Amino acid sequence: MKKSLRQRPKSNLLLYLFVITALVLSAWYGRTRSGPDIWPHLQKIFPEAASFSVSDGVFVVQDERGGLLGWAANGSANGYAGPLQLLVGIDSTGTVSGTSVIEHRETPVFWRMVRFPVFFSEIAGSSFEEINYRYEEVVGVTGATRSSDAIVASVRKAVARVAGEQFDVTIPLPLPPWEFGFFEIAIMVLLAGAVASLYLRRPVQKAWRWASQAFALIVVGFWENSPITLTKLTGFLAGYFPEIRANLAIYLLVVGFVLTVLLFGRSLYCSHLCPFGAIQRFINLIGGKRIRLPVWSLNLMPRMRDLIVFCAVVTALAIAQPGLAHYEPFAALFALKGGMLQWFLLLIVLLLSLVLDRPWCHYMCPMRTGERVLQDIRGTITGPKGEQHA
Amino acid sequence: MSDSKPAFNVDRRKFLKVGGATGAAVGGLGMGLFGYAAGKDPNSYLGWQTYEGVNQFFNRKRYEVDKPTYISSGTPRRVDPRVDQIFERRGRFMMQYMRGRQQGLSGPDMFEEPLRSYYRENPEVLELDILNVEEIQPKQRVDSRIYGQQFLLAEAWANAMGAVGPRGPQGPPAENDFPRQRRMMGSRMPGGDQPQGDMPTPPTVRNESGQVDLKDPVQTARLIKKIAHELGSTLVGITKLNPDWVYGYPIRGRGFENLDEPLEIPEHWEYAIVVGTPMSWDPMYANPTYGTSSDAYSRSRIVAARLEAFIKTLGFPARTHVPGTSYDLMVPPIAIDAGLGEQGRHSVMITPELGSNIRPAVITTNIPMAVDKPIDFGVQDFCKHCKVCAENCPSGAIPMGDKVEINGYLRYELNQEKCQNFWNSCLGSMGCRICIACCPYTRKANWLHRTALNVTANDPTNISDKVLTSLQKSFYPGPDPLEYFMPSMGGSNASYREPPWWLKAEDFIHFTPGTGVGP
Amino acid sequence: MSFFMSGFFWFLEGALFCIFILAVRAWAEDRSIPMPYWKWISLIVWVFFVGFTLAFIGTSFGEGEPAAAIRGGILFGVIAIISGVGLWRLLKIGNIPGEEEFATATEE
Ligand code: SF4
Ligand code: SF4
Repeated sequence: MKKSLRQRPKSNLLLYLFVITALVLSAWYGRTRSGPDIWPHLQKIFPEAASFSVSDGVFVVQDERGGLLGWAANGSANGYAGPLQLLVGIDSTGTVSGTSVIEHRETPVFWRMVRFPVFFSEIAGSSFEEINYRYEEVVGVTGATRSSDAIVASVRKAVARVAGEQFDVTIPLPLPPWEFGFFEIAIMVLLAGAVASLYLRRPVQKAWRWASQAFALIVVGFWENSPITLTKLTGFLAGYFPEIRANLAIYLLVVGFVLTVLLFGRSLYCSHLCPFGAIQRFINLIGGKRIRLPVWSLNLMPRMRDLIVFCAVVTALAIAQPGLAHYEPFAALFALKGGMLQWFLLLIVLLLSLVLDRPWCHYMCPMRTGERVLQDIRGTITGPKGEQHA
Repeated sequence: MSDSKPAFNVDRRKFLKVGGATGAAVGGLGMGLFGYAAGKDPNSYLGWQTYEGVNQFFNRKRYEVDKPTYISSGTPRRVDPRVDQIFERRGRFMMQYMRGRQQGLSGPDMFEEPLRSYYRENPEVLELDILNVEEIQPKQRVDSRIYGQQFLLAEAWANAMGAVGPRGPQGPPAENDFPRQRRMMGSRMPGGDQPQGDMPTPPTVRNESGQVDLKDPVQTARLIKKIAHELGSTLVGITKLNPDWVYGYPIRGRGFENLDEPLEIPEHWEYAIVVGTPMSWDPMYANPTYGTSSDAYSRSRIVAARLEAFIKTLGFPARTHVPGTSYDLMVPPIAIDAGLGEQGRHSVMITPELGSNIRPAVITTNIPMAVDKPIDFGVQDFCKHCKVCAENCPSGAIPMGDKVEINGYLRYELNQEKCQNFWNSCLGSMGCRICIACCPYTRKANWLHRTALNVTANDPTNISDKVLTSLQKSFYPGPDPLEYFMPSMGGSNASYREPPWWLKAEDFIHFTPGTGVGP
Repeated sequence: MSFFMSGFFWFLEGALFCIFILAVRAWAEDRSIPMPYWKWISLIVWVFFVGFTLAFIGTSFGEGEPAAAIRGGILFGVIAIISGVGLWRLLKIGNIPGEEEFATATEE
C-alpha cells in the first residue's frame, strides 16, 4: 500500500522542546509587549489627574493636591478576534465619567461601528442604576455585533468591579444564554455517528462517511461557515477562550477533534465533519482520478506544512493577533471572504482535488499538524503499540 | 458520406471537428471581449446620453402595487423642519449657539423655542451639533489647507456644475405658483387684448381662469412625461400629493414671511410630478472626496424650472421643490408614491434604473393627470440582508438593525447628525454619498447588473438576495471605512473607487511642495 | 458603438456556436457515443456558463472592478472546470468500449 512507501516523519524530543519553548516565548512576548500603558487613558478620562495608585485591581485617581477624583477599572471581554479592553472611569459620586479603549483586535469593519467618539459619550454620565438600562440602548445604537457585545460586556465588568470594591454595590453580571440549537445537535450527532460507524462493516462505514460529509458540507460549510480554523486554535493556544455559552459549537468541534485523535489515533473531525475535506472528496469523485505523487514529495510536503503552520502560529502569538495566522481558504469558499492569497489557494486546491486525493488535507491543512502532535501525545501515553492505527 | 470518396469524407469530418474546437475558442474569446466592451460601454452611464426617455427602461407595469412598500404604523405627523430638517435646524443652531456662548450659557438653555425643547428631549443631538462646530469643522479647515490640493479639480468641477441652476420659488404659493397674466401666441389669457374691428374671433382654448381645456388626463400625463424627458429628466413619475409629506412649517428662502407659522397646504398642490437625474457615475464612485451632488442638483433644478414654465404656460399653477435645500416637502416618499423606486436601508430612494444614484426634484401642480402606481421590486427584502451601506458608512449613521417607527411610518432610522458631521469632515467637494456608491443597486446599466436586478426583482424566495449580497461583498470590496476619514481623524482621505482621470489634480497642476492650497 | 456590442457580433457568435455543436455531433458519432437529449442540454448549459464566466471577467475589467474579475473568475472558473470534467466523463456514458483508447481509471 501507499502507506508503506511513505515514512512517517520521526518526532523527536528535541524538536518538541524547541517548538514548545518557541510557542511559550512568543505567547509571553505577545502578552507583555502588548501590555498597554494605562496613564494616557486615565488622563483622557480624568483630565485633571495627577497621580494614581492601584488597590485591588482598581485605579484610584488623584488630582494635584492629592484629592480623590475617582476610580477606574479595566474591563475586558472576548470580541470577534481576541480580547477587548476598556478603561472605565467612575467619579467620586458613582457616575461613569468616561471610557477609553485600551486595546482591541477587532477587524476594522467591526471596530468602526463602535469607534466614532459619540458612542462612548453615551455611556458617560450614567449612574449605576442607569447602567443596565443604558447598555440596552448602546447595543441598539451599534447594531449588536459581536464586537459591541464585547464592549458592553467589558464596560459592565469594569463598572461592577468599582461598584463592588468602592461602593459595596453588587451589579449582577448576566451570562449570555446557551447557544444550543439545530447546529449544535447536528455536530453531536455527526460526531457520535462517526465514532459508531467505526464499529460497523466496511461498506456501511464508507456509506456513512459519504452521507456525513455531504451533510457537513452543507451545514458546517455553506450554512454556518464554521470549520475549525487556525485562528481559532491559535486563540485557544494564546489563552483567549471564547465565552462557552455563546460558542458551544466551536468547543464541540475542537473537543471532538482532540478526543478522537487521542482515542482512535486519527481525527474523525477531518474524515467526517470538516466541510473542506468533504468538498475535496466530492470533487475528486467528479474528477475520477488519483494520481500518485512521487514519494519524496509525499515526505517533504507535510514537513513544509508543519513549518509554515509553526511560523504562522509563532508570529501570530508574538504580535498577539490570532487573526494573522489565518491562511486557509475556508471562508473564501463558504462565505466568499478572503484576500487574494486565500482565493488563489482555493483555486489551486479545488482544481488539484480533481486528480489528487484531498490535497489540502494531506499537504496544507494546519489541522493535520495538530493531528500529528496529538498522535505523538497518544503515542507516548499508549506506547509504540498505539501508533499502528495511524 | 459516400463510399466512393472516403478520404474526402474523413477530411471533411476532421475539418469540422477542428473547426468546432477553433470556433469554441474564438467564441469564448469573443465573449470575453464582448464583456470588456460592455463594461467600457459609455451607454452604461445611464442618464447622461439621451433626452428621449429611453433611460427609463424598467418595465414598471409588472411590479406595480396598490400601496407603496413603506409601512404606515401609527398616527402620521408632519415633519417640523425647524428641528427635524438638519440644514434648517443647524442654520438656527449656529446663530443661537454663538450668541448663547457669548452670554455664557450652556446646554439647551442657549436656544430659543422650538430648539430649546427639542434639545431638551434629544440631548444627544445637541451633543452632535456642538461636536460639528467645535471639533469637526475646525479640524476640517486645517486638514484641507494641508491635504486639500489633491481635490482641487473635484472642487472646480463641483463649482462648475453648481454655477447654473434656478434657485426655486421666491414667493409664497399664492403669489409664486400661478402663471402671470400675459399675452400668448394663438391664445389669450382673460383680460388680455380684445380683438378689434373686423378681426375674426380666435378659437377659445382657455377657460375663465386661463387654463387650457385638456382632453384627457391620461394623455396629459403622457405629454408631461415626454416633455420632462425632453427637458433632460432621466426618470419621471406622477402621483397625488400625500399631505403627510409636506413640511409642517415653511423653511427659509422660499418666500414665506413667518417661518414659525404652520404651513397650510394650498389647494392647488394636488399632484406631484417627480423628476430626477443621476450624478455623474465616475466621480460618484470616487466619493466621498471626489464626488459632488451639484451636477445632478443643477440638472434636476433646471428640468423642474422648465417644467414649471411649461405647465404655467398651459395656465395651471406649478411650484418647484428642488435640491439641495429648496423644498416645502420631503421628496423621497413622494418619489416612491410616484412609482420611481423604494426606500433603502440608507434612507435614500432606490430606483431600478439608477439604483440610489438619483437626485429628484418635485413640481406640485393641479394640472389634471393620470397618476402612476408605486412599485415593489424587492428592495425591502434585499435591504434586510444586504447591509452593505451600513457596513461601509464611515460615520455609523446607517442602522444594522430593523426598522423603527418614525412620524407614524416604519423605516430604517438614519442618524442625520452623524451623517452630516461626517460630510463636514470630508475634504474635496464636501459631502459623503458612500452609501449611494456602494449600494449594490447603484450599478451601471450593462447586461451583468441588469440581469442581477431582474433576478432579485423576480425571485419570490430570498435566496437570490443572499447569494447576490455575498457576491457583492466579496467581489466589490471598498476601503476600510476608517480610511475615509481625514488625516486628523485617523483616516487617509480614501475614496470608494479611484477618481476618473479628469479629476486627478496632481496630473494637471504643479504643486509646490509644502504649500497646501486652502479652501 | 463597439463591434462587440453589435448585432453582427452576436450573429457571428451564433454561427460559431452552430459549428461547435456540429463538431460535437461528428465527434460523438466517430466515437460511437450516444447523445441523448440530456447530454445535449447539459452540454449547452455548460457552454453558456463558460460564456457567462468569460463575459463576467471581461465586463468586470471593463468597468474597472479588477477584484471582481479575479474573484469571480476564480469562483466561476473553478465551477466551470470542475463541472466540465464531470460533464466530460458523463458524455462518455454509453460509449462502446474498445473503439478508442479512452478507458479511464475510475475509482469508487
Ligand atoms: S452619506 Fe456617508 S455618512 Fe451619510 S449615511 Fe451615507 S455613507 Fe453614511
Ligand atoms: S446597500 Fe444594501 S442595505 Fe443599503 S440600501 Fe443598498 S441594498 Fe439596501
